[in-house]
Amino acid sequence: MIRTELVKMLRRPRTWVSLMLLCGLPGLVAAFLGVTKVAPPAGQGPAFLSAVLSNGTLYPAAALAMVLPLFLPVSVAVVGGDSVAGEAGSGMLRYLLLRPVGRTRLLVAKLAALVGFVLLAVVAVTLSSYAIGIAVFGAKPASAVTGASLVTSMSGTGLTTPQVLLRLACAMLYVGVSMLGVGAIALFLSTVTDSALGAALGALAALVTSQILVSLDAAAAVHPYLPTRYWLAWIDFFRAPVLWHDIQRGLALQAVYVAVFLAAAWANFATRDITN
Amino acid sequence: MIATRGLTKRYGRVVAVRDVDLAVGAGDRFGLLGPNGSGKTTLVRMLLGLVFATSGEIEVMGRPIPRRTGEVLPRVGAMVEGPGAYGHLSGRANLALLDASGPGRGTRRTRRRRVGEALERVGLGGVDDRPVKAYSLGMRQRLGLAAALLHEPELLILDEPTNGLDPRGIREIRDLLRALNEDGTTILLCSHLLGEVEELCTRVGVMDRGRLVLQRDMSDVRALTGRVELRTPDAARVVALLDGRVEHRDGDLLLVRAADAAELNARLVADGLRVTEIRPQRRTLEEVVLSLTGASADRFDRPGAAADARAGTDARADADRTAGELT
Amino acid sequence: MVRRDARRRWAVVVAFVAALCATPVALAAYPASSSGRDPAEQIQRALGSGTRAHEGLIEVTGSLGLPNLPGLDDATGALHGTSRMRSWYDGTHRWRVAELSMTGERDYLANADGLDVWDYERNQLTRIAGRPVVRLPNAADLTPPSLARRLLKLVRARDKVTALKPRRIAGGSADGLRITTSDQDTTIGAVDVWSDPSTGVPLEVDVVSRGAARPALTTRFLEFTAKRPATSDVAPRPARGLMRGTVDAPDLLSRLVTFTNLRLPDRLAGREAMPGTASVASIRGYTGGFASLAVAPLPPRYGQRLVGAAQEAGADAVPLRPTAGRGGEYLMLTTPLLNAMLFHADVGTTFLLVGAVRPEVLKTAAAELAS
Repeated sequence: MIRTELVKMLRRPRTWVSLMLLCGLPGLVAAFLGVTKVAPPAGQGPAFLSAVLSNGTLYPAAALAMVLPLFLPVSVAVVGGDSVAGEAGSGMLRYLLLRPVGRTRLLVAKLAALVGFVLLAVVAVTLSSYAIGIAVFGAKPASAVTGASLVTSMSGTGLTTPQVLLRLACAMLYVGVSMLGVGAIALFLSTVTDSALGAALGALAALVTSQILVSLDAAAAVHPYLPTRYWLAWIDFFRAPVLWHDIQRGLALQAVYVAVFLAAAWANFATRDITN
Repeated sequence: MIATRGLTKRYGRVVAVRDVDLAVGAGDRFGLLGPNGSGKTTLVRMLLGLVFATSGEIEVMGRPIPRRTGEVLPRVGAMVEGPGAYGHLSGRANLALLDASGPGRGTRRTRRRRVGEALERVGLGGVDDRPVKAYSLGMRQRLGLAAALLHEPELLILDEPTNGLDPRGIREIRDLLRALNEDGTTILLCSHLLGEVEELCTRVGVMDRGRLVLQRDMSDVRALTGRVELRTPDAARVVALLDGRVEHRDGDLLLVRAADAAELNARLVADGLRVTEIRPQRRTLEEVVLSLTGASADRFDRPGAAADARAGTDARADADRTAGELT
Repeated sequence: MVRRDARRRWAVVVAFVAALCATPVALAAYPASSSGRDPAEQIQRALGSGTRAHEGLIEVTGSLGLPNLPGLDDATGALHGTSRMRSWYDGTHRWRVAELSMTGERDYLANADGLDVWDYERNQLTRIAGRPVVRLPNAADLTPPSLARRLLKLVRARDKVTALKPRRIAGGSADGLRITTSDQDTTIGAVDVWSDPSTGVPLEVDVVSRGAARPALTTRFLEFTAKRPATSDVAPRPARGLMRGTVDAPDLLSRLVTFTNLRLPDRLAGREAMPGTASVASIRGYTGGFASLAVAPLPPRYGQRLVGAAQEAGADAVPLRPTAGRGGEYLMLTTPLLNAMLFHADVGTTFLLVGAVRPEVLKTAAAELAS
């Protein structure tokens, strides 16, 4: 069942269109930066963007920072919202259930397909932006001094190429995991309504609410419970030594969100009348 | 094969199905008739475990639904309220995906063959790789049937299977269903098309406003009325001869009260009267259904107009409407 | 039957969510144990904890809305909002404090030769040669041990010291004490210090302004380990090929020392000048326990810029006319904890006066400066 859901996801034209859009944004930014050589001032704009002009190796990190706040969660919410409601819309939900596919199994398979999509998205963004970064900005060390380190960590220490690649991979996976909370919310809403669009919009509404509350000091009491609270913790992979505090909490929080909303989806979907 | 007891489904304050005791035997071709909105689809969805009953019990193939749905459904093929398919994939890919989703009957190697056979049966054997969104309504309907037939079901539950098919297609599907039934498949056919049920089914159930108002063998429904329909050029003389037994005359068409048509014919011929046509009158399914059911649930009259209709030509109006649906 | 099933499933989900939500609450409610040390001993141990090695993650929360003043942002930034720091400490001259931000980090690395400052966003490693006599406070001064020791040195015999109930900080129990200030001149109402029972290292400092219920400034360890930090952490090797620079004066205040030669009085508003600043006569701290204040004369053009920034932030120029002698004009910037005054004396000099003191004290000091 998981296999068929993955196949289904891969055969959808929409999957590839959204991946192209996700990879296109960093490409567009790289094109402008490469032509104008005007980097955003330090401390503004997406993280790492001011550092990539001198060395393209870190461009995947900048690309992740670009797609993380909006593009990636939107595409995840759309895929998640479509998962059950989309089947209902195409009329296939009842035929899947009559096949028969157990309702819980269907939910788990849908979640697995969602995880597959998220992984595919972050890997695509990372690989494409790595290639773009090397092509546009080159992979020369940050300074012309002989023996200079390839990339400087946020703490001012040098990182060798394998170290950079390892940290990029970790950051990429962490960003992927960060998306699962939104995906689980969308999946739950997708079992509540028959409108895929409605479910996706509902998940985005939850996301925007969370992001506004995170930026509000008055709501500090609920910050640790918000799904977007630890989204930016992937930056901590580029500190020396790696700061695990927020990363651990972020992973645990996403696991809790997935567990809670998958359970809610199960409770709702398993006893719901399928009238579409 | 199917047995329900006191089956009821409420959506909030609306009762969609009320106290239905349905019995479909093995090998039956059961036709479930009823106007739009009479609860046929809800009943079928409950039988398949898609919708959960408010009260009552369901048994399909001797197993309780919805508790043991998983054991029953692999042996059931169904089409509920139109076919479903992923528009961006071909029909073949759709069937393959559906086949791969559920518990396997056979391996992936046999999937190609099974999909091919199912398509062949419904007349889509030579279909190309165009996506389903380019299919016509009739092709989609056939694809839905193929999906239902994919696993050689023992029970076939079809809701409006001939929607969108042309007369030749309807005939093909009817022949297919009859052939399947002869191989031992039980068929439950839901339709608002009287002709379809009348042609195919051995047993009939009629639903009206959520109730199952009739459930009987087709032969009982179409019982003799004790009258004979007679067409003769010598109508006036026949009336004179049979004095009193002619119940109705319309030109050269007569309706005669008589138990045996053969005896009546012999008597007329003996008197030198010419007979163009003679046959015992049977009740039609249409009359039975119209006498049992009220107005369509999708008709909303103004209160005054409804009263007029009921006072005068209620049955006639319904008959006109049903005739309209028949075309 | 299905209704009951649905209800049962939802009950399972609700119980699951409730258990998840209750976990942090239960962990927070886990009682802390007391080491039984009295407050005086706690203060002694905290003051003597400068040799204790430790490392951890620190969160600073401040609600001192100081306006953005040119040249002073680095010093006042951490005082408003929430910021985080990592600290590796291995003695007074071997430590590293990393001030974290969303897009970078600024590291203060102390070693035997002085202080290195790494700024990721400016991509620059700056060596501060020697030890400046006066400097602006920076993030490294806001770690709980550093701030606690600085504040505990100001405690006078008149201030009331009471024990607080122990509390769990960074996963362990911490002993607490409260200093309630007696001096009516200071805006600080109370200072709460919690420290690690085994090492005496302060783990949390809350500064409460007079009359307020909630602290105006809190600095606390989120993670704390009382172990010697690894060399690669406390003194990481900088990347090869970094842009490096060396400066004598790390910040505006220390630069001002070399630009002005005005001699400030030895005594102001009843407070003695701090002995530590005796060699620098132009910028002086005047000690009075918690009600201490600092005074710096500003170069004319920079003074005007500051006045402009303060006026943009909504401060009004008010004439100061003492009954005797000459006066001037001042702008007051007030926060719950810190008050700052820009005073333009009639003689032509602009002074910056800062302290956790009532505005009246600053006015008295300004009047004395004017004459």
